[in-house]
Amino acid sequence: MNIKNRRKNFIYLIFVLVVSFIVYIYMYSLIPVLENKLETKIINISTSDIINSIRKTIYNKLPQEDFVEKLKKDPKYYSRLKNDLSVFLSERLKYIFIIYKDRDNRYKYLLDVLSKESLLNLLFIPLKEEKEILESVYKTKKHRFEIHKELNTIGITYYIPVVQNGVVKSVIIADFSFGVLQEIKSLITLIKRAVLVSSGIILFFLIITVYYFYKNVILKQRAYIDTLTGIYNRNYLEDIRDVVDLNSYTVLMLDVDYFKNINDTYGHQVGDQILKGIANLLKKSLREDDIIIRYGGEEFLILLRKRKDDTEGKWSLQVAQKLLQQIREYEYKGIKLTASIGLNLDTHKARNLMDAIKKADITLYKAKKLGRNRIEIYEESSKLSKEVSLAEIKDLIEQNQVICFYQPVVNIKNRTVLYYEALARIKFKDEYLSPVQYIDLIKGTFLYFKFTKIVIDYNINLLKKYPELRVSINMSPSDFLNQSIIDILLSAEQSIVKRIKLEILETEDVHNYNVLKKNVIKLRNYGYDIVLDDFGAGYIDFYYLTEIDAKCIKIDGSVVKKIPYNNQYYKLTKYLIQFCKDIGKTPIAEFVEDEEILKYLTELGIEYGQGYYFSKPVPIEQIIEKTEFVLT
Amino acid sequence: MRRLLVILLTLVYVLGAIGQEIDKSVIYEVKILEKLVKDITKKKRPYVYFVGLKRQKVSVILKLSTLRQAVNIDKADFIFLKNRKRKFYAYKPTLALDFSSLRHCKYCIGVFSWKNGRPILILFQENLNKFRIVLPKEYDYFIESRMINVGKR
Repeated sequence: MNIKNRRKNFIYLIFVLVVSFIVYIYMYSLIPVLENKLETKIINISTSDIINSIRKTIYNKLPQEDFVEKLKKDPKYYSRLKNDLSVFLSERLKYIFIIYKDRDNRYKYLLDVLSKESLLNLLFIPLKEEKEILESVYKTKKHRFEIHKELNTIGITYYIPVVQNGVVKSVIIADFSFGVLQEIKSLITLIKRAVLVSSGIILFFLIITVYYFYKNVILKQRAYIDTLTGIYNRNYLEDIRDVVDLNSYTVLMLDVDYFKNINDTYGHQVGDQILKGIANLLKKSLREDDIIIRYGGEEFLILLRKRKDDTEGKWSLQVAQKLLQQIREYEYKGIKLTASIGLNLDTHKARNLMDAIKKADITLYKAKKLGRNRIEIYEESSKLSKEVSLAEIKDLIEQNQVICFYQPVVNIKNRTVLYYEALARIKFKDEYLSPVQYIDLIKGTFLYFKFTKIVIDYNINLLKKYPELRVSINMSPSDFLNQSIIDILLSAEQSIVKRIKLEILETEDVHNYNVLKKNVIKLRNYGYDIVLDDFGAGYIDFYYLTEIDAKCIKIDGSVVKKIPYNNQYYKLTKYLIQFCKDIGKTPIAEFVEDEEILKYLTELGIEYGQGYYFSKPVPIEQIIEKTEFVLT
Repeated sequence: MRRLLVILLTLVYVLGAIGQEIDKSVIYEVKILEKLVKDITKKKRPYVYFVGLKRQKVSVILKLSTLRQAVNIDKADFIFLKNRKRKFYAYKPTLALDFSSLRHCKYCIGVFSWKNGRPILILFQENLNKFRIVLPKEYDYFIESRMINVGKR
């Protein structure tokens, strides 16, 4: 998973940083050792020429007899050697002198190049550090050098043995000035600083990189987390859709049943708490390897990591059953819940993750259609060719494939059009889906309100385009409870409002009558005409008739179509028409399918009718082209 | 912040400069002389009389050691002699601080000087005996049986 990978990368980066830091500290501790090595190297390079020349000078003039005795006894040899060695003296090479070891093992001067006085046999007192060096030179017969740290009179001293017949006879001591040491030291300091500064800069940039990487991870994480529930959101799904190994997961779509009713009845705050509770329940019940995503309003997508031994999906089903049971047992302030689950076990057959989710979604729809509070497992044959899945409907709505067809409400006597009823259609492939095919699917989901808003916008735009057109828009009672829909309607221009009728569909039970009534009154006061739809279909009760101040009442088609065949329906229609007239409402007969029904309706004295006899629902373009009816 | 940095850098520089003011070799020399005088006089804070030494040098010796300056030779436990160009006869343990002074000092117990960037100390057994001075074994390396004569060859 990307976030998990990022976390791994982050831990890896932290590890690299810690290691780099340790290496940096280790290097820092190694600096004195490296410094010494570098110092030795530089000293050797800068002094080796002169030291070799001194050695050559001595050895070229080495006598046959004992070197010490020769110097003591032969003044000419002494002077010549002194002169030859004096050539090497400079500001850098301060002193050159030769010492020897007497019988008492004391070091004594044999020759001093600089001194005008003869120091022969004068006691030479080696410095503390020189004692060991001289012993070593006598022992190993190899030259050595020493850097003086205690004194600032001399910097570097070379001890060159004069070996004669395999025995160290004396030692030439060559002292380089303190200035030379300072030069070398400042060069080393410069190199040291450069190394430290450059590694410091590298470390600094490494820290900055880690900081920004960390910041990026945090930001990404925030973008992926749903603020309400604390679980992943759809952004995360977008991020992982191409990297998920489908064979490792089963897809589970979970939808809280009748959640819209909870929101409508108890308010959104309660709804939010319930969603949080469900999300926590899922988090607790599932493993860290499973991915929980808030897919829609009350819809959760779970990518359940398969168990290796669960080849038939029994374990996944058990998990789904356990989740369903836990949701049934869950309670928030006395509110009990159920859920529907669509389970796709055959993820290996899906083209990709989104396809697997789509199949789980179809199965979820099936579970809802079969009565909710159940688990349905996806089977290849479960999707009929003409059926449309919720996922498909969702895509179509989001792609704005919603249009309206229009059917006129006609004055039966003079055939003029009172208004056109807007009937929503969704364009699917090469056909138009009528609400029967999708409305149950989206009802109770956040999509339904989106759909209603699109229909309202569509009609407002149409009315702007055709200033003589009058339309009615169908709205379910729950639409009147949705504040954002009310706000859209109340923000429309007056010239438009006057030409819109809002038809309250009698297709569902309403829980919050007070809010409904309040909002209908608001809309009426704003200028909308209200029409009560489907009167006589069964849902309508006296509350609507008495409390909702509707201008028109539509007598349901199920009553009208039976007038020619059943006397009781004839009488019922007659009394309904009379009742409407008595309470000052305009009755409209639905389902005027043929001339026979029209004849009876004329006889009953109803003024307006709507049905296939006058016109089928058609696109607005056809109405504009034909202008079959004169607009009143 | 910048001001604080400047103050810190200035302090480091000034303190460094103070530290460098006194030459390391001088400190080294004073420590040797102090130890020698104490070992010879067997006193914790002996009185020393300075002959021929510059005032600045004297004050450095007194500053860096526990030696005390004697107001005259009679009150001194030890004498330091330098830049002497004529005979010096005081019958007190005396240390020449250069080879030329040594030539004029009959009772000098030794000489301390610098040669080729190194301190040189030579003590003479003959004169140590005159003052009945017995030094610890660690001085054996520096003791010559009799006075040496450093001169032109």
